[in-house]
Amino acid sequence: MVFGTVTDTSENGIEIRAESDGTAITLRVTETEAAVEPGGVVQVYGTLEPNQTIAGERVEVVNSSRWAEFYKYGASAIGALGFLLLFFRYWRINRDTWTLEARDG
Amino acid sequence: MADLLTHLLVPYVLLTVASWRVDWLDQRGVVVGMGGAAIPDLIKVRIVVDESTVETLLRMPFAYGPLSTFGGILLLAGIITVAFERRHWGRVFGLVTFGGLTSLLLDGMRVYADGRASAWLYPFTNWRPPTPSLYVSSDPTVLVVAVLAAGTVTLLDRRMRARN
Repeated sequence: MVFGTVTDTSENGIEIRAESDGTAITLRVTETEAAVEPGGVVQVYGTLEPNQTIAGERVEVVNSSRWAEFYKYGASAIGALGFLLLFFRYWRINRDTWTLEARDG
Repeated sequence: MADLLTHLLVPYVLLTVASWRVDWLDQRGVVVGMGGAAIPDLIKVRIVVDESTVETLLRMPFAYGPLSTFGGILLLAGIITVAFERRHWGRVFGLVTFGGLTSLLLDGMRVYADGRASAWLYPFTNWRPPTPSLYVSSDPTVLVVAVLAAGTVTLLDRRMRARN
């Protein structure tokens, strides 16, 4: 199974760029009708064939386009900010001992 | 993985409901549990600081991957716990670990093309648990459900506390 970023889509398959341990390779995924734009991310499970080709047995679209990635980081940023605000409403840093202590506790 | 906001909301919902029955658990504790849920997301620090950069600094092999495993949760929960005043240690460790586990469980339910989630129980086992493949990480439905559940619980919680 490989994860890859879609670089090109055509009628008979998609082209992905998969990265592992800092090395990137381009793979052609055939036998798939996954709805995905370039910039999207897919998981591919299938059989590796010659000429850097995978016959896709199961292709799952993680991000259908680049926008899906922005959505995730946006929601996560809101989460991080909200958490920090909430946390310091109930806890504070004691600067004498450098520990976290409960407010009004 | 699900987005950080969803990760934070899940233990919020579970711990707030638990606080209705468990006397020592208050909103302070709920917030600590939510913090634990952020631990597996620390793996994303690698977008900012590459693994090879950390390796050069530490002069030893380094990977972010284990942060999203049970072992990583326990290690980070320990580090976080000692930042608190000593009298809170026991509960903080339990709550942070609980929060981290809810995130791992949620992430273990997302789609994997080969039907098995990552080996998130590492280092206790390298076995990859089967996943029900419920969602992909960019699916907004997950966040919508989490926000609705959190909203409902917040309203109920206010009502419960107004009654007491």
